[in-house]
Amino acid sequence: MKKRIFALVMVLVLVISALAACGGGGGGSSEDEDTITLVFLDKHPEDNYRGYFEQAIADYEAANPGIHIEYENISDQAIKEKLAVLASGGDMPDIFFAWGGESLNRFSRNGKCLDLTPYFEADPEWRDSFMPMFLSSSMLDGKYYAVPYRSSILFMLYNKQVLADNGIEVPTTWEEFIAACEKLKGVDGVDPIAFGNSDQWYAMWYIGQFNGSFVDKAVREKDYNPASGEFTDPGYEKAVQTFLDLNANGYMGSNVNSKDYYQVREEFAVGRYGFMLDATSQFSFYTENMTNDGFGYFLIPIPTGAEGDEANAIVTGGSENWAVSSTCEHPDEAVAFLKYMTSREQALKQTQETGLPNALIGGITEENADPMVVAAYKDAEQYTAIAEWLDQCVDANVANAYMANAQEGLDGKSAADIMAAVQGAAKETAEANE
Amino acid sequence: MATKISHIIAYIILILLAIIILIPLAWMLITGFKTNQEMFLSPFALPQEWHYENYINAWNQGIGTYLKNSVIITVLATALSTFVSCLAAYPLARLNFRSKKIWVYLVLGGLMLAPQSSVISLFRMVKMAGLYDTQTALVLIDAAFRIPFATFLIMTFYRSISYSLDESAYIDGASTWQIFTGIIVPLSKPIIASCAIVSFRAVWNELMFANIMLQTTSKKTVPIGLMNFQGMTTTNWTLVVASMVIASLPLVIAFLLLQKQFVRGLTAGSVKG
Amino acid sequence: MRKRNQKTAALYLLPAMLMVIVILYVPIFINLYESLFKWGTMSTSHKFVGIENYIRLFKDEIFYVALKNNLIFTVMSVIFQIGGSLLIASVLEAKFLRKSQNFFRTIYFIPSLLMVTVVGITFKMIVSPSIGIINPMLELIGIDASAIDLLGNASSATMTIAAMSQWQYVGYTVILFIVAIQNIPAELYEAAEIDGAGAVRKFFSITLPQIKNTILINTIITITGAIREYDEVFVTTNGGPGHASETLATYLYKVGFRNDQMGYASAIAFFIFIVTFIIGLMQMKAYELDEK
Repeated sequence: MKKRIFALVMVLVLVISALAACGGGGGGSSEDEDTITLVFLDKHPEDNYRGYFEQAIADYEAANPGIHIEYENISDQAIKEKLAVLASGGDMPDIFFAWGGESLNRFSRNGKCLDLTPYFEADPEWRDSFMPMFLSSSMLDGKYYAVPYRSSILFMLYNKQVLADNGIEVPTTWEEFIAACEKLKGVDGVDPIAFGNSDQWYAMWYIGQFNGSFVDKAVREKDYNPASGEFTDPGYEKAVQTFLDLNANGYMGSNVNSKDYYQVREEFAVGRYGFMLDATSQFSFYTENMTNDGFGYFLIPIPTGAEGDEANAIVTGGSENWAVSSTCEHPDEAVAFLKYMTSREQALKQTQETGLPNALIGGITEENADPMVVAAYKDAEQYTAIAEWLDQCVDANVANAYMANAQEGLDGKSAADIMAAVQGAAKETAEANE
Repeated sequence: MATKISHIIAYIILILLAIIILIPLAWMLITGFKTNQEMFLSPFALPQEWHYENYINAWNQGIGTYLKNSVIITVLATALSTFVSCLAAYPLARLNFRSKKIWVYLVLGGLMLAPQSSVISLFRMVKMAGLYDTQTALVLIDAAFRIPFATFLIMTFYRSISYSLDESAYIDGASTWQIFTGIIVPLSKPIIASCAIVSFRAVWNELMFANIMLQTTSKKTVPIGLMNFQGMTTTNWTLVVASMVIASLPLVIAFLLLQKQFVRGLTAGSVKG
Repeated sequence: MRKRNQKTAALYLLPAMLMVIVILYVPIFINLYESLFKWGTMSTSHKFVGIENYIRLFKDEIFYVALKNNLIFTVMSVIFQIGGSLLIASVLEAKFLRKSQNFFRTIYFIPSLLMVTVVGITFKMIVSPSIGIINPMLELIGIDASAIDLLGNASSATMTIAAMSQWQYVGYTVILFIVAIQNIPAELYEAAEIDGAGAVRKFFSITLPQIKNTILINTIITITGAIREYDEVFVTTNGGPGHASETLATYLYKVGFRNDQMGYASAIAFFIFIVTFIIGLMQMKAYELDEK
């Protein structure tokens, strides 16, 4: 009798382990032994993007029968949390997406990323094919930890129709920009700037850009480093204030905290707004929805009183990168795959089919990209400095303090209080990183 | 007369309440058939054309996979927790042994534990056990958190069964196992079913562990899948709504069909899942 | 005999107890231990800091915001899911409503069958000023809704989520109370009627005392649920705007998994444990009461 209970328990154990097998199926290396499986975590699940990436991977698998790429494709918002959670257990995906700056550095610093320097040294041509400003964002202590596959630069976009209807010239200075906003504010059914912050990151584009305008390079570099961040320079508060004023003066319409970026850009496209801050990587959305005659872009005006030493030279932008895990069992194969994905052929195709600008020198031309994007990249040449995305280039703790408090700022919190919270978070982080 | 008026007032209030409950539900059902433009330009109107393809698209976008995962995880976790609870409740209710009190308290104590307080440690344990990103981990955790309540419920019921039944069986030479499977379990079928329903509903809805323990998209459950889906489709709201309707239907239909069992199950311990 | 029982009992208990101990109890102790350290999953340092994390907790403004929000959830839930539901249940049990009772309670119950994710996303859309229906509805009845942004404004976010939670669960507790009321012997009411008692007096002198235990148990469960509040907030605002609608559980998640301050998150977790444990003790007492 006791035996039967014991048998029952055994059955239970068996059921559980059978479950384990079926639950783990696909994740394990249970397939035949000659196939190498590489897990690839990426962030392009949107309909208009994922087709290209899935096809490129399928093509690679077809050409390399011994390789199976397991493609995990999750949303922008989801991957931010995922990356933070992932690092904890030591088993990163073989290949994974990361933004530049601290988003990647935290992995590199802790030995989670494979050092790609030897591969670049073995194949300098590959290394030199990337635009240096984007490649450098994956560098830490002189070593390369990722390859950039997508690049992006911020511009201020405008709806041509809306500006024309209201007799507004394309602004070139901050004063003109504000004057244009004032004018649009009085127009029925139109708000000056398209902005929505329910996801919190959109505010970081503005604040990151303004930090570049108001704060000196050396100070920013010190503060963005988790070990030495203080954020006590008065420029930071001015940057936040400049951003908050845009909302407080009524230029962004109402209820910005419950709208999101995706929603307002659709409204911008149909003429509900005059201006919209956006990145070159997203231009294809506007070309599709407004045609090239519907929208234009201009360099983000430099706020009045911006005294940072790079104020005239800096733009927010950056690369999106793929890194290889240091625990990847088949690093050579992983690197070979990345070489394929960032090859001129694939990069050009990527830009052509998805509109996502690649990061190669001369990779964006009239042939594979929209003329608007080509022109934007040309115009971007007057910038000599690049500010990485603020929500990604500082420590997560600091970034979260920035984001949560900026959201409260749109609801009335003062710039001084926002910065006090950021300083607190920076202090905590610095202590933890000593 | 006064009672008449109070009856009418009661009716009006109840109907108002029903309307408040129904508005979001009706909105969901109808919006799932609309286009995005219709959704915010004419929020109260019926769709000009019923876009059934929203539902087909939602299904093709993977809501089917999520449903399948949810069903697998929920069924297994429910079965596992109900089964082990049936076993554990037996000695606690009907056998005499020395350390019984400790075990009873251990079970009851489990009722007090908030999953939130163990999530960090559990996450690390799962990682260490190599079960991260497996549905097994989720099944085990979800099942374990259901055990205290299920055991408590079943134990209370077992106690209500007359002891003369198993005493006479014992005299006839039956083993505890024979008594358990031959007398106790058959008599307890209703409470076991109730228990399973309560557990099923709780696991079906579980969000936090599913969010933390699973990584691979194809392994995720409906609650997490819907969150992902929302991020993925950016502004295709009506598609999200359609997928939510699909995700909700199984349980709602099951309820309408099995209302009696449902209600009994949920009220058995007058306890919320 | 006893000895034999001991062994037999152990076999029956083994699987359940193994799972309960390993998955429910062990993590609590690990958690308590880990809350005394300063550590993150990313860094290799694991520094003993004593009760520093707890000191920090009690100095943390957001902790108090979260605590306040948990309290709002608790109060709202008790008012609606206990008070409101009890009232609805007793009205539905009134004789003149017997026939339509099933209709109403079925409708009221449906929301509780939906997943929190579904309810959360639905409400997020419905109350959105730009794509929802609440603001247009307010405009229809002549209220200026331009400044109303239920989930986007710090002042209204928590209340909105709490209201959503009531929408979902009131029907649930209504059914629990209906069943409890149905179990009251009919003779009690008949006797009261002979004495000439009205509906209100019957409610207070018979219904309430008779289902006292059900009320008590449900109150405790509702309170515990409100203290564990995570799902609804996670789906709708994720604690925002800023930290305005943060609860202890969402804050714990953010501190731990986003900011990677696992030691501090463990301290928050232990705080939740203590609170739910104390309330749980009351729950146990209530169950004992119920059994008598």
